[in-house]
Amino acid sequence: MSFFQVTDIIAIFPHLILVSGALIILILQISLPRYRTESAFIISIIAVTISTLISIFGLSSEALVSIFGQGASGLTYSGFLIGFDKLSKISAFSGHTIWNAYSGLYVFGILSCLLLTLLFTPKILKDINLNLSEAYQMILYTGAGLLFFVTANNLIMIFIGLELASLPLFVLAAWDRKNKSANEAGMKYFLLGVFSVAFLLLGSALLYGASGSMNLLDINGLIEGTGISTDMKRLYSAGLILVLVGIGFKVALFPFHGWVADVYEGSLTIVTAFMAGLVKIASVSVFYKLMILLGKPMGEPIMLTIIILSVLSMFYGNFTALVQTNIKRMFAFSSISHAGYMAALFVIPNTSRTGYLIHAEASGSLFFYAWGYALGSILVFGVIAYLENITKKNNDRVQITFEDLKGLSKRNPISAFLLSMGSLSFAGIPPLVGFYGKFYLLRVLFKENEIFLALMVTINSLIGVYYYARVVFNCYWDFEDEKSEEKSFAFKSVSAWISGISLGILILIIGIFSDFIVERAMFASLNFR
Amino acid sequence: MIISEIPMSYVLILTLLIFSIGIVGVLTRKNIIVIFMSVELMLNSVNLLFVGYARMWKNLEGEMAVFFVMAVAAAEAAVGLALVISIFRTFHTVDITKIREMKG
Amino acid sequence: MENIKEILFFLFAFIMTGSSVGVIMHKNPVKSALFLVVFFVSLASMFGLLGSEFLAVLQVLVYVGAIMVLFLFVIMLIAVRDENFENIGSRFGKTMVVSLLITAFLIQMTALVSVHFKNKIDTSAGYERTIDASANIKITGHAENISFQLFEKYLLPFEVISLVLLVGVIGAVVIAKKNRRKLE
Repeated sequence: MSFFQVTDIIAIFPHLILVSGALIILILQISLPRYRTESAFIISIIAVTISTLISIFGLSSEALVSIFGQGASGLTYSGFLIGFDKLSKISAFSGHTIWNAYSGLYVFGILSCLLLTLLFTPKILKDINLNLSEAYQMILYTGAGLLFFVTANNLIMIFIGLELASLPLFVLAAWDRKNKSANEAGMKYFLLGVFSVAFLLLGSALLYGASGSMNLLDINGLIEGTGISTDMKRLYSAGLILVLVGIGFKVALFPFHGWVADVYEGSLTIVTAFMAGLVKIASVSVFYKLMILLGKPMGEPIMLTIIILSVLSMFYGNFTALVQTNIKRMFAFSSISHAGYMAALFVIPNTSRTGYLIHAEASGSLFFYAWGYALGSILVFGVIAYLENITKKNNDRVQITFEDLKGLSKRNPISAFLLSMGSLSFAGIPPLVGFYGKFYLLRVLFKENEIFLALMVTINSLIGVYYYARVVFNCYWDFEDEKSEEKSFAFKSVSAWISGISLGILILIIGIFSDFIVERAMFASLNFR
Repeated sequence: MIISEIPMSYVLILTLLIFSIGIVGVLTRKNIIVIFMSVELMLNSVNLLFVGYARMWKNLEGEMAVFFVMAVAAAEAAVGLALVISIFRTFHTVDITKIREMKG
Repeated sequence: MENIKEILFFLFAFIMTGSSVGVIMHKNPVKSALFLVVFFVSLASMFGLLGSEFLAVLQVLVYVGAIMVLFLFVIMLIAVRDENFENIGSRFGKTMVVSLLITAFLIQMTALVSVHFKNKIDTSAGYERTIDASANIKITGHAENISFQLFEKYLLPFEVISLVLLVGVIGAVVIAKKNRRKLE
């Protein structure tokens, strides 16, 4: 009796590469006497690069046969560039995880962000003297957990994937263990994390009680087919709302945002990049998937709730970001408002006026927005992490304020340029990726006649321009006090240079290819079930 | 003759009661360890609900969920209590109202 | 004696509610932890009452045997003092939120519970599954059934759980380790 087939392995191939990278690091670390942390970094980079390449280019059936033998003949693993339009789907491990183009899309998004963030990491860890190889294991496990989270097709798997992603992040948030605020951030992230998971679990239990299954597609089949019986409907709604609350904590929507500012500020800035970029893109995808697959019996009430939450998140995030002096806190609050923009798209699956195509378009623009946001926040937090290293004098951590940015363009032109570019992209200034994200988002909202939401997004983007522009002004046009004449260059490490430059180029030019990417994402979303 | 049936509504009431007691504990207590214990209360009440529904639907999915929740709770406890020790080392307290390094 | 199970259910429900109130109300964390032990044991009995013997055993082994020992160990390690409840009223906002939540939950409860008056849990019937029709092998036992499921249908979650536990171990070591490794 065999417990799994080759198809099962292929469906989770990128996840497996990340996990085996982490395990190889662990084994080498405990078995080699003169083991150096650099090799942990190299191994993790190799693992992430391979899986990123697979998620971009896919694996043809010949390649699969040469890896797995004859059992894999006739199968392909479609990547972001190749094979999405074939509408293939691999359901693996008795429906616990599923590879379809929608999850493949987010696998690509997560892995590309993971690679770029990982490149920033080693120098920063070295500077606080905590460059342990465990850090890279934790990062790889986080990545693998997020992949399991987005490819999950079962409430249990969603829960376990989320846990595998968050437990290492709790550890990484408190990585700088001598530092008080890092400890506080780790603790707060941990408590809020387990608290929200309890809601997720209660919701799953109620959904299970209402439908008799934990498999998302089974539940979906039930509601598309016979439907939930009327007396179970209340149970079902309560369950779905609680699950969405649990994920809403990770997306940092308005009433569940309490942890964001402190955790983002206190953790190591590079870990903040993980939380802001990777966790958000993954949880947004799962939120949307749950809305599509399970949201149908909920109808109007949940739509109204989401509209309210979305608008409140936008306003709350923007107005609190306006008054911040600490840059990291400002970006933290602005991330709440970005969650609000993305949540505006969550209403589309429940309108069901124009059928499949608009869903695909909504989901495509959601991916584009989330990916662009993730790239932007990785760039911004990465640059801030290096600025902190330059500004700090003794061993204490410093927080960058707007004051510190003054004259940055003279002292440190490259980081000033990259930081401004990230900010302008968040603000939605035309050639950058953030503008195209907002453009597609608004286009979908207008097409769907969600004029109110579209108006709110526009107003809030305009408010956002003020504080994002403040970053740029402080960098470029504020020279009153010449703090120090010494010039310093941004990154001081080759890998961070690679990541910073490629992020800059990506943010600059992705807009040109936005049509192509959104089209891919739309194809992917046609292939939902 | 022994009637071996328990109404599902009892289990649901008990679960929700203990879950809300857990929420109260999380929101009102100041000691981090007690907060964490309250979270354990919440998780365990959900376990009870899972078992109840598994028996109601006569399939094993709910009970498997309990199995996995237990394993995850063990891992969480390890990390969480390590964090508590680390907090105690830096702040010399486990009172969450006094652990306030950042303000904004 | 005809509904002994229901009586037992109420007994355990009473113990569980009482001990969970004890967990969140008692000033001394050690006593809270002991209340939690009582809660776990009665929850295990409840599992047994509902017909999941295996989970009942696991509950005692994992929660009482491992997790609570860890809790008590840490409480003793850091010598926690009694908590001061005096200024609890002064934190007005928090109590407001709590009472609102409780009200919401109570409303929710009354709304949800009406669903289940018809549904009964039949605690006596076991699961029966045919694994090999030709050889006529059936499994009826609870633990047997769970173990079969674990390695067939739930193989992936099971393997991922092992990773979660590994992360827990490594993470705990990294965070709680005192003297850092020197980098040269």
